[in-house]
Amino acid sequence: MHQSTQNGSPFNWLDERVPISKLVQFLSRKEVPRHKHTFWYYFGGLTLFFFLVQVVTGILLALHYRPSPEAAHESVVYIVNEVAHGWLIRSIHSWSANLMVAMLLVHMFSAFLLKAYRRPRELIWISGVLLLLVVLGFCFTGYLLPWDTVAYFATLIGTEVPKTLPIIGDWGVSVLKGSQEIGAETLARMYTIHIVILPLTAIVVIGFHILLNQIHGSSIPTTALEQKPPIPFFPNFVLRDALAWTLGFISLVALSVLLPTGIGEKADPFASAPAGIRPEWYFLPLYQSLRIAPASVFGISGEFLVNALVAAVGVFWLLVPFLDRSAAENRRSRLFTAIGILLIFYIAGTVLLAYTT
Amino acid sequence: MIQATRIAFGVLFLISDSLLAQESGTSNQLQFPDFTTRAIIAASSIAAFLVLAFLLYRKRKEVDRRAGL
Repeated sequence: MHQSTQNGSPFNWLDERVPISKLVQFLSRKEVPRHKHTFWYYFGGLTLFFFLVQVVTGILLALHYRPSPEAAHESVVYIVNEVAHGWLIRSIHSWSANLMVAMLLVHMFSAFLLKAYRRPRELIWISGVLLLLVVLGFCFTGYLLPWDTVAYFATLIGTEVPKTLPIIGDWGVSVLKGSQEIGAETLARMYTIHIVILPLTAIVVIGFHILLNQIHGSSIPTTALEQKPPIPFFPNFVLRDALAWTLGFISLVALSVLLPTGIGEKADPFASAPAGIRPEWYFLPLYQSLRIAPASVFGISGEFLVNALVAAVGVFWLLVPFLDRSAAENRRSRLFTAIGILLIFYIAGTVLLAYTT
Repeated sequence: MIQATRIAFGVLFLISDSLLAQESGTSNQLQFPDFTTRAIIAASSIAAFLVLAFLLYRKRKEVDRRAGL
């Protein structure tokens, strides 16, 4: 590279102002541990890849989408029917959201089971959990945008969830809805959160997450007893990542083209909720837990108990690096492994149950 | 091989149609390209990206060999 760049070349001009060669040197010195669990390292990159696809397709959709109850549904139909490749762009946006959540869950649970949150990587874990919330926020706010019947009633139910929380419950609902009903204010809020607030938050948190990852490097699991020589990050690991991204893109294209995303009837606030309505698969654990919870336990509302339990699990999940003392001392922590596996089974079980009942 | 591909695409077509009908109830509002067109788009893009994947794989093998991995 340096031989091909002469003094006074555009590269040298740029390199003097933006130290690209130093960055390349840093990346070529960086190494990725190589052991029997190295495979799981690819899922963080795949999550980032699907996020980038979301950004690009989201910008294209925003060029034609109109965020008002009168025009939202028509604008989505217009995007699909009239805009060149609009159906494909919308379908890619929708499918990459699903794949992003799936990759994020795999990345998070693999990090959990491999105890990647051990000192000094506590903040990498915490920023990752925050990213999960941001991604779920993206999905929730994006769901209403097509303004069809299912989106309308799913949002109506979803925005009522914080209501059971003490003190901040009613405030939370009014912040989300913007008015008593799901209407123009709600759509405007969801759209603003979806295209401005969450992307800005995501960029900051992703930047922080990646920066810390570059500083500390990838975590080596305590169970990886036999280690092989590490993989140089550039170009060896980058090429592996590029291969994973290409395979991810192939899956995305296949799903988007063969199973394009549809749309329901335009939302009618005066109509009754359609039968069998259920949220997207990633919200099904919460939905199914609310369904199976008893109406009340010792006089306390079942809905409140489920929400409180989910909040408690969320706080536990966030604070795992400080609670798992065995992992902090580089010892095996079977209890936390069991908790992680139990949680995976609970999520998978509730999703299956919601689809089959 | 051709027969197997036809069956595979036929199954995908059925799944696609039933999913669309289930999700939207009124998928006739949306005019997607017909299934043959979509299958051609899918097959050609998948083929192109598989070539790219193969080239990346070959390059990776080469740099791994140079790095002694």
